[in-house]
Amino acid sequence: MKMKKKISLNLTKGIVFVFLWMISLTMFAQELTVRGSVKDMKGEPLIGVTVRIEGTTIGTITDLDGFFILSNVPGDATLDISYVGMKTQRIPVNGRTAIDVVMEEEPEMLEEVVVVGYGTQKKSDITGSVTSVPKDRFSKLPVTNVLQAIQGVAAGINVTQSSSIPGDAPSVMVRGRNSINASSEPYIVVDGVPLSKTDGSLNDINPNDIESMEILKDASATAIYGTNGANGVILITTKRGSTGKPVIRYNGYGGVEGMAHVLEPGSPEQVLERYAEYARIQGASLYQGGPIRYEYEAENYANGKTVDWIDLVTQTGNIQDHNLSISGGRENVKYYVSGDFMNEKGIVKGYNYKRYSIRTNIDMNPTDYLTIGANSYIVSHNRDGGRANLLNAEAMSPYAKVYEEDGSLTHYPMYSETLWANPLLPATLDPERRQFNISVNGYGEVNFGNIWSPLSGLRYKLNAGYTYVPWRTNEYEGKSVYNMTGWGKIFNRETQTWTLENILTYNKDFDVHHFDFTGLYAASRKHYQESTSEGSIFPNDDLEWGNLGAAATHKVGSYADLYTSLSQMGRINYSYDSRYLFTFTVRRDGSSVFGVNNKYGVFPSAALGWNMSREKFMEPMVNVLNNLKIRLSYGKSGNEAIGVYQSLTKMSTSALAMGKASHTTLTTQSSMGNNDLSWETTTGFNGGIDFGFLNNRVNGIIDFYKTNTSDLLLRRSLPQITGYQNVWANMGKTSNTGVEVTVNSKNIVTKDFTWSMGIVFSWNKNKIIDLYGDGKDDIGNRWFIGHPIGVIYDYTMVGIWQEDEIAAGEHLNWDPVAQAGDVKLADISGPEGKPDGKIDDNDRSILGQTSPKWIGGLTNTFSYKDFSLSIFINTVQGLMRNNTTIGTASDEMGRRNGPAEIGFWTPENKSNTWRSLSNTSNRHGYGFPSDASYTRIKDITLSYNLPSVVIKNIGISGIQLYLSGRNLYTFTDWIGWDPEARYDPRGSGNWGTNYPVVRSYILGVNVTF
Amino acid sequence: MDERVYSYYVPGHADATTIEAQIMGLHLTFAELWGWSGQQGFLSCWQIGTDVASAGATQGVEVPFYQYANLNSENAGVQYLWSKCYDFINNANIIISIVGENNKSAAAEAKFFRAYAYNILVTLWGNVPLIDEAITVPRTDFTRQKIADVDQLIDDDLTYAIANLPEVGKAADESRINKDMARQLAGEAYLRMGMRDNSYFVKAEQVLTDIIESKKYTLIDERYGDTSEAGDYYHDMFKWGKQRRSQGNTEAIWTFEMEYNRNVNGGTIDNPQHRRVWQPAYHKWDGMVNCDSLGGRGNGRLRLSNFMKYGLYEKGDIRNSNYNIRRYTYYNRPNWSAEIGIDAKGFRVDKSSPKAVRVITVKTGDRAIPYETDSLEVWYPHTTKWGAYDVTDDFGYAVVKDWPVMRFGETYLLRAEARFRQNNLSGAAEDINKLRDRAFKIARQQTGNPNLGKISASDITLDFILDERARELIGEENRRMTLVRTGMLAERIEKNGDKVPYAPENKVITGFQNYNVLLPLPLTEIQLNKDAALEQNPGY
Repeated sequence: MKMKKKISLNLTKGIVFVFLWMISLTMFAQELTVRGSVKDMKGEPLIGVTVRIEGTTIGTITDLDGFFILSNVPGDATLDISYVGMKTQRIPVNGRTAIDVVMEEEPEMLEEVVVVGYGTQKKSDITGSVTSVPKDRFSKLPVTNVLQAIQGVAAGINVTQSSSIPGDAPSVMVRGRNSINASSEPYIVVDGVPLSKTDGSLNDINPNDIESMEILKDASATAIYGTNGANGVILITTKRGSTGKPVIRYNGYGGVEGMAHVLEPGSPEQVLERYAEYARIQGASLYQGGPIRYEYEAENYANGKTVDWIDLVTQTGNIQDHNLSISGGRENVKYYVSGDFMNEKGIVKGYNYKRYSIRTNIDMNPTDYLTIGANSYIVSHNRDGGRANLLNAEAMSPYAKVYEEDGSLTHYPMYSETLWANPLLPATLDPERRQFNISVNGYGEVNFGNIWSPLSGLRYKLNAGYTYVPWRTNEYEGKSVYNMTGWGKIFNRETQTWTLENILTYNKDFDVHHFDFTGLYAASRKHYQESTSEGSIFPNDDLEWGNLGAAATHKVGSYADLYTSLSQMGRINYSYDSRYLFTFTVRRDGSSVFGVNNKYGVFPSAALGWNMSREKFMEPMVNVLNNLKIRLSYGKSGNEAIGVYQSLTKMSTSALAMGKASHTTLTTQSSMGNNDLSWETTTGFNGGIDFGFLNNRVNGIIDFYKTNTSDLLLRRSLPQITGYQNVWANMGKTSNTGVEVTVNSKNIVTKDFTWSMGIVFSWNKNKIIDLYGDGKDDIGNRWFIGHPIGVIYDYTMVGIWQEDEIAAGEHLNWDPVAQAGDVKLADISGPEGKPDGKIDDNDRSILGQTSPKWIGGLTNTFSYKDFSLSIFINTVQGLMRNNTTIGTASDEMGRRNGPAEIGFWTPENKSNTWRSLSNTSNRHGYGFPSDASYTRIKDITLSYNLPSVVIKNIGISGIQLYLSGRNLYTFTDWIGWDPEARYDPRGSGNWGTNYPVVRSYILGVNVTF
Repeated sequence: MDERVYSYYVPGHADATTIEAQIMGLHLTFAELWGWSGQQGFLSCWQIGTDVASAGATQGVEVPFYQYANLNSENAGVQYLWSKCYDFINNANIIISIVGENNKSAAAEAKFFRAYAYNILVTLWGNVPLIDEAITVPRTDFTRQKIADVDQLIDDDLTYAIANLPEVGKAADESRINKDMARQLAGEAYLRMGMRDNSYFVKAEQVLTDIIESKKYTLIDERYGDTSEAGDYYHDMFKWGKQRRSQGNTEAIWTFEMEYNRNVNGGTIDNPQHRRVWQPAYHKWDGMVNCDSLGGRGNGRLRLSNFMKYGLYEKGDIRNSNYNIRRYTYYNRPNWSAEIGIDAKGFRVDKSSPKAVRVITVKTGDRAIPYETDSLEVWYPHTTKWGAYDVTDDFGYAVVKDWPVMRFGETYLLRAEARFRQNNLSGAAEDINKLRDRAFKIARQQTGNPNLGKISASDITLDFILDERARELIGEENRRMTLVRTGMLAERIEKNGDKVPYAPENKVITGFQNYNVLLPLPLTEIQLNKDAALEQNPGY
């Protein structure tokens, strides 16, 4: 371990040294200042035209009068001058200091091309709702997963980082939840090949390699993905080479990490107070009469020593990422090759993450009619390490004993209390957690027009993808964690997926008519298998999991499954004069996961668009309102996002010992089978407006949508009388209604200073329309018609029962079982529909929803000369969560440490907020729901482009330095570690790996050679 | 597009080996039911709030079972027992429908478990939905059937089981269901049915007599097996390694076998909580370490009631020896000593406490002196039936030892009850004297009084039988079911004897009302059963 640390330290030192050396060299370089103006063909000045030094990110934009000044321009540089709707010009500087440019309009070849499913489309031709993610979010941020970078910046996309464990991926949802039980995660496609359903994840895609990211949201855009479209589709395109001289880039950063917020445990005084109060309530004795509770607290207490357990299990984390890429090409071959190393040492001991990845993207034209290419990558994830237990650290008394006399860790630092083990114990383990993704994707495309000109516009593309995702986990527990006989386990799993797509496209323009057709025939297959080997009772701990055969008792397990799908799709786009746009698509999908009676489904959609700003009558306004497009779409998409074999009644195998030997047992699983199981269908309407004012200085998109999902894949709870707990069935309806607004503006544009702003707002209203066709709620499952899918259905807490109230008998006709110090719940109703003097299920009501009502993001970017400062704030509002931190307080807090800010009731303090430490103080099982809204200063990035003339002479075309901070401050009323983060109480979920939200500061550099 | 299933068995195979595994599944369900650790106080639900046991360091789920006002339809213990019963029923129904008459021994074993589950349901809930074939499509229209209908199925199933199950010693494993287990269950079920239809008392006596007359069982009245550890013959039956018939326990009818899952796959299903429920938490004393002779580490979730602890046993009853109801112990931490205070009542206090009337030094080997409050969870007289200790697992979240489910001793008690119900008091006394001959054997030798502990027909009352059941079966029987079955819960609660101010307010029985005899139906069952009304039991 020590050795590794040294190497990485040296590596960091080395990199810093190289940069310092480079910077010192650049001091000798030369520079020019180029001035000029940009006008259109009518002689009108153009505002906001991008003027950039080719091959760099260095550039400026024209001001209100169409003028620009660009300093530090190498004499032999070439300027790229680009503007929406105009032809891009490349002008060599040739030592000039004044350059005037006239831009030509280019109605045919419009600016941005957007990746849509199975092809690309001009942005102005798009009829559906497609969000392109701002590209500047793909770099300059210390994120390991691209979703972390787009959290809050893309309208209609809700990203939640419930776990900040290094290497854990956030979850994402597009436009609210359609499905009650089936997955609501969007479908992810990378370079045309699905990443979803391969067991790969976005963690496998290096953010540095991403060229663009589009999110398809409405039914028209997603219907071409059929049964996979209903939850939205994320399309990722990686970088490719372009013809020209090789461009070598190095992007790297390094920084430190800490806890964004610490939930302070109670002070020694608080802990003793709680002990005393709990002992009073229990009528129990403290250790040797008190004030400490446990034998193992005696020593530290006697010596006046306290232990900061949070400090003991945490550390200053660090993160570094190094990415080197080469791209370029000749006439017939283009390439992009990149390698990346990422290393994160987490803020809780033992949480490590390393990622190595290599990507190769190649495109070739062996003949003029044939293009072939490959996108391949290999990723290795390493999450090795025994992880300290944060929850146990929080639980530890400050007097608890860390070490035994012989220097080994205590088993139970608060012995004789044995519910909470030493939080450092798991850190003595050495498990290996490895995961890989090997993806080999290739395509071949024939352009028939180059074979026989009458076929011009007809293309055939074969897309083939193969993905191999192996995982393994090796664990061993021995005497270091007080397993005296030893236990080891190796868990291997692998997924192999292949996808084959035949795509036929035909494009035709005649006169003002544009016509294109896409046809698809595709199949996929995913084969998963796993195996487990376990051994117990080893001679000693020396070999750990290295020789499970050495164990006296063995246990093995295996599992395999197969998923297959078959699809056909057709799409027609037609546009008239680029003013009137039509799209029609239909897809037919077959999937193995459904019941024998329902394997295939058909999903059609239609959309139209009107580029109003291109109408004659709009011409007078073109200087103010330069873009206005109206879009309407309607369509159907599906969701098959349930696991394989859910339509079958299955039996579990287990073992039972009898006669000192193991016997196989078969028992029915908790889920009943269903031969009629089919997908859920989402029908959606979308209306949108794209607009741009003042030469797009202010531009934006507004979308309104309404989707109805029917035949929900509902894991419906059954009465246990059936012998089953639930069954997957198609029943019920939900709807989502929402508004999304994206506005980008350039508030100030001057020669040296610009201030631009991006606002993103999404509002979604989710509703259950029906469940079982009878208009009745399902209280057992907490599903209520007319309300969102996830609701908090609970009592209303109105205070704490006080002794005088109980003495006066106030509880007798309210909550007869109440005792002083108990949570006081409102008697809202009874079986007769009115308060009945009893607290029971009739007193629960809907208090809030578990998904946000709206989310928003605000990005402000200030540029001054070569400096740029970007501040991003995101907000998530209108959601509730049960607060488990408060829920598990009370009696546990009388036996362990608990948060400093959570108090307790006593007959003296008469708290009306906090209940007593009695284990029955919450006898009705109130969940303590709290508002989990928050606003976060998510990141601030300061970047600096080194003047190009300074660096040009040493063969470097651009250096950008940046400083970035992430999760800087959070505004919230939530009591606990964080309102966004998962926090599992002891014994439930992943309570052994609770992990705080991370705040990081990094210094980065992007160099282009 | 057809799904190829690689790793799951699906129901429908009728071959003997598949059915065999499904039968083993019923045994697994039994292990999951009584070995549940999801709510650690689950086992207490069936003991506390009765005459024999009171609350100790409660976990939570069992609290409404003695603070009865809190007993409601959302209790997790109520929910769990209900759902496991219907798990038995569903899995049994699947087996029964597949094998038909082609595999009678399998059908018989499945019917045994179906009857076992229905007997629990009817006893504790009254009328319940009656399902006698496998359900294959979702149903939410269940209604409660009359007890008599359910009892008819129990009777039929057990009659079939008795006819078609193997004799003791002839089953594939000794833990597998045999004729006598079915008879003993039938004996208990018929006694319950007899409360509404007296004719069942005759049937009860008959099936129990069949066990007794078979001469295959004898009461243990001599030490057996490894006797190197101090103990007595009654204690021997509850020592791991000696509990099974094959290990010398001639009294065992149904000993549910457990193994360490570390040693044998399929041992230790879930984490049985018996020891943590029944044994006190003496490890909380600094002078004590967990050890085998003290039965390992308990949690003191329940305490024996004052009724159970004081005055129930007569002098000389082996079932009350310090090996069986342990009342005192000795400091056992090696080389340990401490200065402690003793208060006026003889309890331990801190040496500097003003309550200390004297300060003494205690050391390893001295008799341990409890704090006054220790009697709630740290130390109290307790049954040793669930003691067990494994040196490699000092904490012992799970207890690994066999479960005595049915014992020949209880056969006599059940038959005594059947005879009592038929006014054959001398027959009942005769049966109970069989147990007393065993219990007082040593005391009779020591005192020379051959009639010590002997009872006569005039002693026999229902209360006496229930007392004797407590003396003999504490820690083994489901006391709540016994009292509900005999209609005696309300009366017997009065005997518990733990009262304020001698016990804290939150540890005594409160709020019992007559409707609490039956349990509430789980709320979710009523709510999910949306196409028919599943009536809640009155009062809830």
